[in-house]
Amino acid sequence: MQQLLQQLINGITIGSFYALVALGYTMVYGVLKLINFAHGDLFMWGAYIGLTGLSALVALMSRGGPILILPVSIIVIVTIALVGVLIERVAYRPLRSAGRLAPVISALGAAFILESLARNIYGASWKTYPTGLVPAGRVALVGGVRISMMQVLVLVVSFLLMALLYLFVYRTRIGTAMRAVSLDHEVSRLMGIDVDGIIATVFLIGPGLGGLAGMIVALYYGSFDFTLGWIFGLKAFISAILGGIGNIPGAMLGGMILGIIETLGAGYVSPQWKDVIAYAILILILIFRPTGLLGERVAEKL
Amino acid sequence: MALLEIHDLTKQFGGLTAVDRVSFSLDEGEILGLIGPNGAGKTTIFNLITGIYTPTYGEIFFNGHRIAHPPLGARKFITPVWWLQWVPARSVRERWDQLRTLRPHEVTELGIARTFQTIRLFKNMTVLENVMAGVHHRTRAGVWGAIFRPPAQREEEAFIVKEAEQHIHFMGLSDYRDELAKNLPYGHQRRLEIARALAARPRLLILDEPAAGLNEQETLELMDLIRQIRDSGITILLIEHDMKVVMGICERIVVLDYGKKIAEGTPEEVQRNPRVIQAYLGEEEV
Amino acid sequence: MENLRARLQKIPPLWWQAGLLVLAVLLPLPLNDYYRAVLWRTGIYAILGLSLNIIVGYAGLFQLGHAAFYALGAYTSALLNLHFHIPLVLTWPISILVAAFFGYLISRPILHLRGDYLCIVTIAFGEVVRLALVNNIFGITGGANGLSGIDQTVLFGLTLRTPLHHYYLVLFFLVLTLFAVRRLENSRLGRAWMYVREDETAAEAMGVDTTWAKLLAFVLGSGWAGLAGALYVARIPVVSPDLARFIESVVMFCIVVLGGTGSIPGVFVGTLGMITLPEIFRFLKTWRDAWMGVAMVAMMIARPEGLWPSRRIRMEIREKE
Repeated sequence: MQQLLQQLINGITIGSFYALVALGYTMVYGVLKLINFAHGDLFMWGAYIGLTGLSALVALMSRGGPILILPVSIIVIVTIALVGVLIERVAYRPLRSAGRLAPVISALGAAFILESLARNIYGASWKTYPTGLVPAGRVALVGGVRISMMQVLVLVVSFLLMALLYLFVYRTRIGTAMRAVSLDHEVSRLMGIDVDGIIATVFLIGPGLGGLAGMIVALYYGSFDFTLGWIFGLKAFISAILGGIGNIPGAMLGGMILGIIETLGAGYVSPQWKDVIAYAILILILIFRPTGLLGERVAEKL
Repeated sequence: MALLEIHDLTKQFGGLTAVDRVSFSLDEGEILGLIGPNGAGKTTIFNLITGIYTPTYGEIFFNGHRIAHPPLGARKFITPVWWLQWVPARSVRERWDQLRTLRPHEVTELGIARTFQTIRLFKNMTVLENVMAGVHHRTRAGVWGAIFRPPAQREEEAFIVKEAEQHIHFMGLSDYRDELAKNLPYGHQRRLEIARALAARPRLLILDEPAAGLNEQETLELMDLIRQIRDSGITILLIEHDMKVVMGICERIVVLDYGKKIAEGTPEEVQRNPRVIQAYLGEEEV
Repeated sequence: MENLRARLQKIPPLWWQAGLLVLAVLLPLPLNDYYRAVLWRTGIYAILGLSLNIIVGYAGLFQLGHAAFYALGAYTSALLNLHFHIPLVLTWPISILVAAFFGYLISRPILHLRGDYLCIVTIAFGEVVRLALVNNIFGITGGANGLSGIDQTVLFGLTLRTPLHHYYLVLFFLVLTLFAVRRLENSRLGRAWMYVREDETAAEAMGVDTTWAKLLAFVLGSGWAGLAGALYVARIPVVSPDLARFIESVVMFCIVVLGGTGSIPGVFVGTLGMITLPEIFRFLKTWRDAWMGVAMVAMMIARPEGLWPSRRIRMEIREKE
C-alpha cells in the first residue's frame, strides 16, 4: 500500500509535467486544428535555455540557490514564447488555407530544424544542471510515504499554472475569444475578434508553458539530452489526445492519467515496456474514442 | 409488396429528434415526392435509406430485404451471430444482414442510387470518370486484374466505358465527355450527378432537390427527364422545394414537418390539407 | 521554352521510358563503388516511395509509420536466413507476405479515422513496432543492436557481392514496381482510390466499398515496403530497429509529398531530393537535418503540391486556396 501511494505521488508529478506540455498541444490544435509537432522541441529548448541561463547566473553570482530559478524562468518563458510565435508566423500562417497535408509537413520540418539546432549548438551529450538550485530533503507523509521537497515544489507550481490557465481561458475576455476562435474562425472574425492576434497569443502561452515545463523537468531530473523533446513531446501529445484534443481541462486530466498509469506500469509490470503502454493507450483511445475522455462527439452534417 | 417500406423510422441526434416515427411505402414504378419545410428531416431520411445513418428506431425494407435496423447495442454480445459475423457461410451472412444496417455501398449494390442536395461530384475528374464511378459496383476487377490485365479485365474496362458513355448520352452530356466536372455549368453538373447515379442501374433512384438552382427552362427539362427515367422502369423518390416540380410529376406526396409525417396523398389531396397549408405551403399559389 | 516543351511532349512515352532505362543501366558504370552504393540506396527508397505513394498519393491516407513495414520485411528475411538457413532469395516472397499481413492487421481497426487522427495512430504503430524490435520481443529480434551475420545473396548461382550487382537487382525490382504501379493507377482499383480520395461519402454512395479500397491500398503499400526491406538485407548483412525509426517514415513521407503527391515522376524527384542529394552534400554533416527541415517548410509554403505532382492533385490543392 505504501508502495502504491509512493508510486501515485511519482505518477502525479510526472503527470503534471505531461499536463503542462499537453496544454500547449491542445491549445494550438484548438485554434488551428493543427498538430504542432515542433512543440516537443520547444519544450526541450526550454530545458537548454534554462541550462544556459542558470549556468551563467551561477557563474556570475558564484553561488547557487533556488532564488536564481525565478529570473531564469522568466527568461525561458519569454524566449520560448517568442520562438513559438515566430514558428507560427513563418511556418504555419502561410499555410492556413492549404489543406491538411501541408501544415503537417511544415510542422515536422520546424521540428527538425529545432532539433538539429539544439544538437549542433549544445552537442549530443547529456547535460547536467548546476546543483544546489533545488531544495533537497523529503517530507514524510502518512503511512511512511515520503514526498521530496522538489516534488512538492513541482506540484505546487504546476497546479498553480494550470489553475491560472484555466481561469484565463474560462474567465477572461481573451480566453473566451480563444474558445470562439477554436470553434469557428470566420464567425469569430465577424464578431470582431482579431483571429490572427488570438492565434499569436495561443502560441505565446502554449510554448511559453511548454518551455517552462522543460526547465522544470530538467531541474527535477538533474540532467537531460536532446532526445528529451521527442519522448516527452510524444507522451504529452498522447495525454492531450487522451483528454480530448482541443479541450483544456482534458489536457490536464489526460496528463495526470497518463503519468499515473505509466508510473504504475513501470513499477508493477516492467520499465522497458513503459513507452509501449503509452502508445497502446493512444492506439486504443483513437480506435474506440478518438475524441478523448472529455472531448465532444461532433456529428458531421451531410 | 412495395418496393420500399419504411416503418416507424426514428433518428435522434443526442437530444434532437430529426425523424419521428415516420412510416410510408413506395410501389414499383411510382414517383413519390417528399416535401416539408427546411429541417423537417427529409435529407435525414434519405441518409437513413442509403445507410449513411443508422436508425435509432424503426426499420427500412427494400425489395423484401431489411436494409436498416437500429444498432444492437449491448444486446450484440448475447447474439450468437454477432460473434460469428466473419464466418463466410451464406446462412450466417443472411442472418447477420438482418440485424444490421447495410453500408451505403451495399445499399447501392441492392439497387438504390442517389444524388445529393449539395452537388457531390468528383470535381477534379472528368465527366466520363464520374459516371464510370456508378458502374463500379457492377464490375469486379481487383489487384490481379489491374496488374496483369487478363482478357476478362480488358473486356470489363471496355464495358465500363461503354456503359458510362451510354448514360452520358442519355443525359445529353456527350459534348462534355472529357471535361472536368468542376468546369461544367451548374445545370449540367446536376445532370451529371443523375447520370452517375443512373449508371449504377438502380431500381430506385433517390433525388435530393434535383431542381435546386435551375432556371425555368432547365426545370422543365428536368421534369421531362424524370418522367423518362421512370418510364424506363426506375422508381423515383424525390425531395423538392420547387412546387411546380412536385405537383407536376409526383403521383403521391408525403409531407414532413419537424420530423413527423403530417400528410400523405395525391398532389390534390395534399394541396387541400389544412395541416400542410399551415406548415408549409402558406399562401403560395400553386 | 514553350516550343521546347511542346516538342518534348510529342515524343511518345515509350521512347522516354526506354531512354531512362538505358540511362539507369549505364549510369553506375563509370562511377566508383561509393556512388554506386548511393544509387542502390536511391533505388531502394524509390521503391519505398512508390509503395507509400499508393497509400498517401492514390488513396489519400496519412501514413507516417511506413518504415515499420520496411523493417518488418527486413527482419523477416534476416530471421528466416539466420535461423532456418533459407537462402535469401527465397525469403523475399515471405517478407512481402509478412509485411502485407501486418499492414492488414494494423489498418483494419483504424481505416475509419479522419486524417489527423489516422496520422497520429500510424506514428504510434510505427513506434510500437520499433520498440517491440528493440525490446527483443519473443526473444528473436536481437534487441537494440539487431541481428547480424546474414548470408550474402545468391541469385541463380551467382553471388552478389558488389554494390553494382545489388544496384542492378534493385533496378530490376524497381522496374517491376513501376510497371505494376502504373497499371494500378489506370484500373478500376486505381479509380476507386481516386473516388475515395476526392469524396469518400459520395464514393461510398456510388457503390464503391471504401473500406476495401483503403485496405487494399494499405496492404499493397505495406507489402511492397516489405520487399524493399528484403532487398536491403540482400546487400547489408545487418538489421537493426533503426530501420523503423520515425525519421525514416518521415523521409519516405516527404519523398512522396515533396516530390509530388500522387505522381510517379514525383516519387523519383522526391527520392533524388531526399536521398541522393544529401549523399552528395555530405559535407553539411550534422546540419543536414536542419536543412531538410528548412526545405520542408519552404516547399510547403511555396509549392504545397510538391515539385512534380500528378495533375489532379495539383488541381485539388490549388483549388483550396
